Amino acid sequence: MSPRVAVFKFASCDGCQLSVLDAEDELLAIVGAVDIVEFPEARTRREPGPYDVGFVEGSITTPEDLERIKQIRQDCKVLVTIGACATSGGIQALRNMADVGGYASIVYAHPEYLDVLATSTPIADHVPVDIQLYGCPVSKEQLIETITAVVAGRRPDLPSHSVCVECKARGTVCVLVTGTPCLGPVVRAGCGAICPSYQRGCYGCFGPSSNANVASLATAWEAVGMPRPALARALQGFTVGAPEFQEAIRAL
Amino acid sequence: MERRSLSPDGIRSLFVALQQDGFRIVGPAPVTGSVTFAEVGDFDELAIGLGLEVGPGRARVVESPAMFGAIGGPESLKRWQHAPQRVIWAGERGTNGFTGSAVVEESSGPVAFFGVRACDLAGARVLAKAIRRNLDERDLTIALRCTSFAPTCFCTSMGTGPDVPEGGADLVLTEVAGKTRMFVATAASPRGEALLAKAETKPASAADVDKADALVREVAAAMPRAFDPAEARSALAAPASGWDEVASRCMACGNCTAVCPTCFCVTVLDRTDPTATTAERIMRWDSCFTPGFSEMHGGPVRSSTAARYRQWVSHKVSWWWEQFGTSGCVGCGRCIVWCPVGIDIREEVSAAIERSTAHV
Repeated sequence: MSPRVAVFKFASCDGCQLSVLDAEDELLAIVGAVDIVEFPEARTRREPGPYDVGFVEGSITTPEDLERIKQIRQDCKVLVTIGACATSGGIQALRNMADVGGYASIVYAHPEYLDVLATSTPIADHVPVDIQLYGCPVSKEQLIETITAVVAGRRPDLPSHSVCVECKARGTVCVLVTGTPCLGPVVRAGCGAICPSYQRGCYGCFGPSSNANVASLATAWEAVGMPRPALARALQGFTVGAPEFQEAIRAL
Repeated sequence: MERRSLSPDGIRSLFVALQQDGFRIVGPAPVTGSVTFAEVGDFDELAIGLGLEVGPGRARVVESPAMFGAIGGPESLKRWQHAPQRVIWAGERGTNGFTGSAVVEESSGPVAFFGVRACDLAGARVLAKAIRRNLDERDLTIALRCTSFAPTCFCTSMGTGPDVPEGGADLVLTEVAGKTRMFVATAASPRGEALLAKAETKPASAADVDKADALVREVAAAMPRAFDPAEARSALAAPASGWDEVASRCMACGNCTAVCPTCFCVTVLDRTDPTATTAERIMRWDSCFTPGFSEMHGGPVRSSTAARYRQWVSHKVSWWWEQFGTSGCVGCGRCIVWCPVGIDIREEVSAAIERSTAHV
């Protein structure tokens, strides 16, 4: 029997779920290999658990989310988080450094109708997670690699090293050494080092790499005319909620 | 062998002769943001009149009085000798499990490496020992002796340059800067001689030959000494502390190992298709700075950046000798230029030597 797969959504933009649908060339083979039984973004028919693999997009932002993620964890043999929201709290984790009530009163006519948590937090803060797919959005290649690895019963190839490794493999000249601010040395690989291949610095969509040393990167940014507050602002993007970046933002 | 002289047009004719002989040509070319080795299809794609202004963690393209003035670009010959990623095995699932066989790369034709420096050639020799694979025997090397050097260069300390050793290349060029650009050429192999015979050349005058040799000697004399390789070998042989300071600057990003012409470490992993009917075994560049590199059951053996930096530099200048009978460092300085925070291996090795003698 094909593995039963489910896709769930929490606070997020749906972009990572769209990455699943964007895997056009491989989608038919994947649909043949697995049975996608629960995927509200893509189909109306829904089936209850248990599931062999559950993909979770989005961050935990409401009291209801807290309960729902516990049930999903119980229902899924393998739980995979997909994207920056699910793995670090997403752009909405900017509120972790501010007063969410203040934001709500600016945005909503009747903020009293809202029932939200003070923070936006990653799934792994609340339940054990088996595999994490980073990125904003996740990489289609990593998504397919993870599904095929689970089907084949092997470990997926999901390196935690820096973006620099990917730049060098594809032969992209270092943009930082040649004068453009880039977060690559402290950011997790997986996107294929897209931005530097267009002479842009890395924006940090995949969050911190292992052994990320942001304090040292600050000296390289200063050398290309970007003072510490500029680096702190650059870290306040899609993966602002990552503990390594939170700590660096406070220190810079 | 007789030495000949070539004008810039003579160099162009050399290039055309290589193309007519069916060589793919790799030479110094303008690559976004830098000048470095790349495959070129036309002589005018070479980085003519361009140089690099380099320092620790910094590189900028500048104009150069020399025709080929760039030193320190990120690419060595490693990419062509030891591909970043290749499939080494492929298999298919049948009724009795997987059957497969080793994948041997199809050569895409002989390569002429044009404008390679003494350190690049040394890097290729050292790498060949480690991966047991030389450049293809049909490949050709056209070396360029250094008549200038970058502040990050230390080939004289490592005994690899600036002169090209006997038999180190097929053809050796020396650019003699003057009112008009001119090159002195020495064929260093029968194939190099045959190539030179196809190019527009003149006999080189004794004065030109002397000038070319003097320029290379001047570079050798002017390049500052970095560290003594023998001292480095013994000082870094034993485990020692003192790596925390460099680890506070090191980002463990792996750039140094990627640009190093001799860093050869790879990881091997398996890939399957979504239906798990076909599989491939892939070999790709790895780095002793990645967490996966030393991962065994339970986690990486070297989890701290200090441990990883010590591993890299100690292997490079010390344990490499036990393993391959040579230093792993050829003094090209690429790791210094392309480290985003400009960590200087010369300073780190010197500091380690100092620490080891202070303890005695």
